[in-house]
Amino acid sequence: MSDTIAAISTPRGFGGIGIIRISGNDALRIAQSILSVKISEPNTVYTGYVFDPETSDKIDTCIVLFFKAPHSYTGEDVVELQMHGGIKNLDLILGFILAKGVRLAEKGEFTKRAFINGKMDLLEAASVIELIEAKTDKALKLASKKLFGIFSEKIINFKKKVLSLLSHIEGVIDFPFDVKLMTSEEITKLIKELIEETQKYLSSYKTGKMIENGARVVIAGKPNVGKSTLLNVLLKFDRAIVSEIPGTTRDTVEEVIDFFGVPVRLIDTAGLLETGDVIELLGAERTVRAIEESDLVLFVFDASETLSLEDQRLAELTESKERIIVVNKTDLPVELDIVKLKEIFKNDKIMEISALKRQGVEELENKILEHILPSDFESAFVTTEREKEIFENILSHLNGSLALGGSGNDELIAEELRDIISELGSLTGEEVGEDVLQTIFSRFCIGK
Amino acid sequence: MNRFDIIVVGGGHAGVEASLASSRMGASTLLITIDNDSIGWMPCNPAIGGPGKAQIVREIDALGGAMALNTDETLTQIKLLNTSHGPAVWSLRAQCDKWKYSLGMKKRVEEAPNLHLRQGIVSRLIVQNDRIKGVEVADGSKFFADAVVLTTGTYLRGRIYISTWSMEAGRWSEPPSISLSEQIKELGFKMSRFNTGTTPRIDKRTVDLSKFKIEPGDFVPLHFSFWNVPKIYDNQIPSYIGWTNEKTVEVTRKYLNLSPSVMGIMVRIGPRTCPSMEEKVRWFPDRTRHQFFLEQEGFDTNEMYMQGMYMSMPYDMQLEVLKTVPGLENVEIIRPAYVIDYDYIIPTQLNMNYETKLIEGLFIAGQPNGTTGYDEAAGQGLLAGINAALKVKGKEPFILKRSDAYLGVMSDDLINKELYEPYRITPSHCEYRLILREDNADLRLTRRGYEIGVVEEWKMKKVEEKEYLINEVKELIAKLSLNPNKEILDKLKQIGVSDISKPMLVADMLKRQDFTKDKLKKLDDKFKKYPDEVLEEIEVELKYAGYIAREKSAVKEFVQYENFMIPEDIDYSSVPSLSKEGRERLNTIRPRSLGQTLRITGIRPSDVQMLILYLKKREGGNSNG
Repeated sequence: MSDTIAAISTPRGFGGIGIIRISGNDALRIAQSILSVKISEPNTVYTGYVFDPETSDKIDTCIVLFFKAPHSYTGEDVVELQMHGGIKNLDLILGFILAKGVRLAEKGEFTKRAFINGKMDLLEAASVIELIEAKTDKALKLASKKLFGIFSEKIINFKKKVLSLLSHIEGVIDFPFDVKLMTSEEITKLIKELIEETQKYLSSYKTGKMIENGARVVIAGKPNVGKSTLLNVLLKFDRAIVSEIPGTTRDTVEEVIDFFGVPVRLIDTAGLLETGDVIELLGAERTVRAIEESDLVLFVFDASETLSLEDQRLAELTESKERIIVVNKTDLPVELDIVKLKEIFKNDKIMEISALKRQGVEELENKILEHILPSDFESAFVTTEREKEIFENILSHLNGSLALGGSGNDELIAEELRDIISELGSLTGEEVGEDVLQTIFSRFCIGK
Repeated sequence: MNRFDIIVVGGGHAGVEASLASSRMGASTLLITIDNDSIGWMPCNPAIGGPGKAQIVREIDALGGAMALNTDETLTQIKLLNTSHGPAVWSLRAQCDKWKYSLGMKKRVEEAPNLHLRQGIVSRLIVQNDRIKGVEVADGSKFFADAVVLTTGTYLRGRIYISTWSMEAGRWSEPPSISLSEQIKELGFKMSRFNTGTTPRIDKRTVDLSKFKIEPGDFVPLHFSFWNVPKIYDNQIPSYIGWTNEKTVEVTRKYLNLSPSVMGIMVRIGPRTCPSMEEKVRWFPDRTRHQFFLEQEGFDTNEMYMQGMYMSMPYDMQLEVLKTVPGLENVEIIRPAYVIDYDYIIPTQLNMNYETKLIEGLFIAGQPNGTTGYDEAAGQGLLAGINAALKVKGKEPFILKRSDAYLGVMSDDLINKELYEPYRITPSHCEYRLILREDNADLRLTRRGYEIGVVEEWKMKKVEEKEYLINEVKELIAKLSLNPNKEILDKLKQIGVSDISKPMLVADMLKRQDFTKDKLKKLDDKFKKYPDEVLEEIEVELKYAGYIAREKSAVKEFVQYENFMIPEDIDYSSVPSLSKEGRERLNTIRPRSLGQTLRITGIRPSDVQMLILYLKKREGGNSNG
């Protein structure tokens, strides 16, 4: 039988309450051996105190919850002890429990056991960590949806569609006398529908990743156009050093903010000014890299200055990226050739603001949000690289089936569909490679 | 003489292949059968092959078995099915003259060296200290052997039914084995019960065949056995297709309550792939048009089998149902349809070599393992016979993996998966069917059979010759290049192949859909001398090349798991974090490899994870073992 594990489930620190969770066959017996109150009924709240089993000294008062297998988080017998949250206190009591032969739980082991005992599938289990790590309310919302199996349901439906096509083709091969094959047009139509659905999932990855990990928004522009001021305005407090001297921001300055529910990493870059200054050059190199890795570039211009060579270089550098053209300092007399600017950036949205005077900022913020958060964000559930890879594989198998359509090689379409089923299995954990579980559960911290 | 190396109990399709295989391997073998006149008998549809089954028959043939040879000699019709799909799932199906088939098998058994034949009802196994010693026959005589293969078909506590009437029988007019079944249970085997049925046999003279759609055989060179030259069978009997109608369904519905499974007097679990007329009406109440086939049971008979018309209602009512079909207004039933239920021994109690885990030296094959079909029975019989002989000789067992053969797929399914209905093999059971084709069974298996002594030398020589020719052609086409000059382009046009714009290797031409082996022969006389099966092999492998490569890499991964062995002394109670069900299953089945573990019903992926971690830890901490 599986051994009994225990861990402190609340964060280490001085909290009002600290919880120790014990799970396994011996959970109740062990908990009982340090408790003053007799625990008999599951799902009942008991109060009592914890005593030192050696000296019988009272240590702390305690609220005890007992969940009987399989009706618990892990699917095993679980006892939760709620005490006062001091580090010393909890460590001492955990020590008593471990001394009875209970093993300290590994990272994520409670959730792993829940998965093992069939309490949740892999998508749901993975969402537990996403829930815990959620930085903003939108990330939390996505994680909750995963936890409550809404996405698992989508996957199950998708799998049902693949299975029904597969079983039809297999049925024709198995029982040629009894089952009539759909026309190749019908098969092609079904495959096309599946492709469309897969593409939808894949395109949700960008959104999902942004909500889960945060969007990288880079503020670029030549020196002294007001990048740092813009950063501070968006941050709503002073972070970057703002001065009149070009090249003051020598490195990229990064800040993570809760941007209307999406974690956004705002990156202010140094200008691409070519000076002999080593630090300045280093900053320029980082600028190039920051732009490459960004999800959105805010390309800032100074309305009071004419277009320069450097603007052109930056325009080329950011050409393949999503970008918003920000014309700053509109409170000053306009020197910038706006007509020409519109011509150069005819595919981009141009926003006119004054960061200093806080003019046009709200409109800019809305525009940023539009870029990083498409309106269908709630259907985004492909949030990890692993999930994305699986859907890419599925797409390639679907395209393979489509290419075969009508060639009379239904047995090959079946091969492709079988591969899709196994990919889906690895998504929900019905079929799991050796390494995958380890990777997923190692992200958990002890006590979860 | 009452002492043999091996005793085979039952002379059906499993028993015949088992006893022929073990005697071929030099083991003195006794075949005991209830009725010597019904060796290799086909009590239901006299058909061999079909999707999945044909692959099994070809594999039996490649391993020296009798089924394909006997089919070629006694068939009344032969067809290649699934030709609207690719060659990986093409499947032969033949109908045989059921009397000639049986007689042919009897002759093979009688002529086999080392094989002895006795008629008798085995009443008891002789077991000592969990080891088989022999069998006792109803008259009290005893026979002794080191291994016993049970191939007792539907005879274990068999009971046949026509509505409320029933009698104990292994099949129509033959006694069942009651005491044997009871003893097997007492020995500690877990058993369960399945049912199956057969159709009425009608008098051809009373059928208006003009009202049916004629379905002739194929008149192209075909052969079931690798050891026969393909030929056109001129003398084939056609089948006929008919359909039920509203009236048929209405009449059937009237008598639903007379079916013994509905009345609850017999077990309900039968093969879903062969539903009875009553089941069709119950399961698909809205459908009235059900297809069925009329198939003549031999050259010298008027009896016709009615594939698809399984029934269990009383005789008069069967007649009433049939008469609703146009063309059957005056039909006469010669033998009524009936159903049978019988005990089977839950096959997860077997090792991969078909030997029981409980009693050493006891092997089981065919229907007692919960399977249905002659082909499936014969395949298991062959493997059980081979392994009984290897056991007696003290040699390693002969195990086919899922990646080796359909036979391996079937064995693996039986031993690891829970049976919810009688097991029938189909292509959908097989993961590697682009590799495991019926056309290459000889190339896959004959050498392995020869190595263990179950395949004759001349067959091995024939396969070696085929391999030689395949390599010769492969080398030829890898070098031979076609240039887009006028002569070649004209020739291509002439044989109906699309143009080429640059020089192209013949090997690459063969990958194209419109370039076949027959066109290759027309293109260049060099290829005329090669047998069709040699060119076909090359063409199929080239056309499937990309997918075969993918399958081969999947096989590689699969084999890795298969070769990840689990120590026999593993104590599952010390593996942490296994699910309750998983632990129970692992304890009963005791898989030999990690790969096998993956396929056991009720084992979760997480159980496998835990097992891997445990085994790795154990391996790491114990460098000696």
